[in-house]
Amino acid sequence: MEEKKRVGLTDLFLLVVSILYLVLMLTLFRACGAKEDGSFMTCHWAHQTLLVFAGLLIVLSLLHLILGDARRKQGISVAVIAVCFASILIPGHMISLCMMADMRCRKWMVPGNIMLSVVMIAAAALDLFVQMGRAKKMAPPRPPKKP
Amino acid sequence: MILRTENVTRQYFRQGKGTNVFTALQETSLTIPGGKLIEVMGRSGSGKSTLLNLCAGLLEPTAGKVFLDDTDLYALDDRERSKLRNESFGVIPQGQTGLRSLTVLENVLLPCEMYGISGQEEYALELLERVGIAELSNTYPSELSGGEMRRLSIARALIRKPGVLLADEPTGDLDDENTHIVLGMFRRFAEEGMAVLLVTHETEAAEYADEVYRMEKGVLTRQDAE
Amino acid sequence: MKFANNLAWKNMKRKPGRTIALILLAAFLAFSVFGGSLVVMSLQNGLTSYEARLGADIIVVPNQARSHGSIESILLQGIPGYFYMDDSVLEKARNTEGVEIATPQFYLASASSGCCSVSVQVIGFDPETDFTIKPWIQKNYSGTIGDGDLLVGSAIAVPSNRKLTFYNVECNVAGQLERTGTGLDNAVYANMNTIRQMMESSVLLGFDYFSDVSAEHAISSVMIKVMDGYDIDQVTGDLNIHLRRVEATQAKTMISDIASGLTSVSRVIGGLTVMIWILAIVILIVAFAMIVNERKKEFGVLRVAGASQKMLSRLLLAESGLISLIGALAGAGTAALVILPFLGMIRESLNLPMLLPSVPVILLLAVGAVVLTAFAGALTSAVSTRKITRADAGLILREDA
Repeated sequence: MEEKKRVGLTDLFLLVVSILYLVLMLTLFRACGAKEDGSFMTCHWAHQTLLVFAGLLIVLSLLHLILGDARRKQGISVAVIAVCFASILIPGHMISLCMMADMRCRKWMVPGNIMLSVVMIAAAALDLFVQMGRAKKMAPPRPPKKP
Repeated sequence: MILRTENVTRQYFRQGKGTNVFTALQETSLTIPGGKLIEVMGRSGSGKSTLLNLCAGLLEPTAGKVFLDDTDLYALDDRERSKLRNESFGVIPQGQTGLRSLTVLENVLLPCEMYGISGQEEYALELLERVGIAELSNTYPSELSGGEMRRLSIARALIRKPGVLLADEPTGDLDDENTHIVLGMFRRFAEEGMAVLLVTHETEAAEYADEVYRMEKGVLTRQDAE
Repeated sequence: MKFANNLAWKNMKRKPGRTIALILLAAFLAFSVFGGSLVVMSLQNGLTSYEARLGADIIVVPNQARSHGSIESILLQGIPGYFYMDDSVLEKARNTEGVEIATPQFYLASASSGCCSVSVQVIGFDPETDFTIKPWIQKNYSGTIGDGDLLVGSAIAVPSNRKLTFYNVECNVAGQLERTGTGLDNAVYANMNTIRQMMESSVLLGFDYFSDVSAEHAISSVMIKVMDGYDIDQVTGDLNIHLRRVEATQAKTMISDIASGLTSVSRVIGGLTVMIWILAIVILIVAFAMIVNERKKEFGVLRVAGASQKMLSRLLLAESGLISLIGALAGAGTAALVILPFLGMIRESLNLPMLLPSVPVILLLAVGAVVLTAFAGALTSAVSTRKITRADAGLILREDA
């Protein structure tokens, strides 16, 4: 069915945002590097975890793009939402950050992470609705459209 | 149902230079009884569309009255008149008249949807079958040809099972074959008991009509039907 | 109503490009109103809290601190700094007529501290006479501020064991202060004994901040409260006459710089918002006029099919209302996503104290912005709506498209 293969706006949006998430986390939103003595501050480990999450989100978005079935897409969107919530909880809550509010991790990494995660959550939630509509449409096959 | 106009006049006030009054329709009385197909012929600009719009409750006359049975159309307020039009009038306007955001089927169901009447899908499909475009029910108007669009208009005009059918140049952009198909339909509707008013500038229609009138410069005159 | 909403929705879906463009416009409206008011309110809150938190009527600092603006950068931006004078100033200040309380403060910039490679401003104060810091203790861990105890600003993350080390002096976090939206949030506070211990330790570690004053008699500033009935101007003047190589400044003067900064930022934000609104409203009015014009024929068809004039206006209202509501939600959401997390950065770039309003106030602002935008958006279609519903349907249909 042609309906099945359709790549929706939300598919592309999720993929673009998840790639953007990884890129920004590696650049603008990164935490501090190693200290002069070569040791790391705690924010480094929070950052590493977020990078893993970013990779995970890209894999999920790709799966979302590739899989045609509306119900499977919905499942992946739920997973995306869960991962994003987890990513909001990591820095500062699960893994502690640096002491001062004006340090990189708290000035850039945390706000950036919250912003991108919320955007991803919103996109995935929107996708749940979109896929709900598609699932309904696909259930009783309609007569094919005349070109 | 009987649709009757009583000395209706319509004047247009042109903006600009002083009192420039243009009389599109002069004191016209016309009766369209149920079961009859009345044709009004005339060149474009002769006032025939004005007459049709007056009949449909879409254009307030400058003087005179329009009755549907005993109801004076223009004594009603806009809401009541609109509801009456929805229930009792099937109007086929000039030109391309599909809502482009709706499919053919949704376009036909429009008069029902508007007043929250549901469960008419089967009847709509039946009408589309009758006008011969059932297979196009899920396409959008932008994909239809002129003839198909015309049939869509006809199906939409019939969905509320109206007592009066008013058609403005319904065969204007159709080829010969389609013209006769459409006119044949109107003939059948009249025979089924509808009061049908057909406004056209083409002569082919005369052979389908019970009465033929000619409109010239806002003046309506009876012609003998052949 | 359901019919109008359905048809409006279908119309929007049929022209996704235009719908998205209009939604974006409405989003700009909501973004500017919500974002602008949030920033301006935060600035006002910041100013109020900064004023309250300074607490003193007069601040006495060494001449060079005042001329280089170091005191402002410590208090406002939290850039660690230090400057010292002899503590004889304190006694002289206390003996000046009209001075009710004078309390010393001591500024020390830490070298890298604990986990992190950034210096922290350590402020020493005298718990006996202090009237500017203790009133702001929000979380109290131990009750007293003894030797080796610290109070920390609200922006300092307290380690789970509540231990922080500066210059090899391990301290206990005894409490945390309320948020001010200023540099004071990034500072830690200790009593004089503790800070002298740090100083000594710093000298041992090879730091030399106290070139011309002896470590035991060094203080950085004196915070002064003026007795009731005395003119602050007068007392400030007296202090400046009697004290040498230091400068007494009224807190009011320090605030007024910030207040004028706030005014100019508020003006810029206000001006931009007004411009965005005028532009967007004009575009929306034109866009809806175009939509109506383009669909004139459709309105004719709707009339023919039995729609009353009221139904037509409801339909147009539904379409413009839906578009502007979606845009308003998106715009307010984006503003929240940009401003709330990044407030620290905005504060730093504006160089003004900023303190977010309370959550209910923020929610109220957001709801207000959304309602205002949706209303304005719906209203922009009203002009065209009047035109189309007033016209005779017969006339609309006669104009061949």
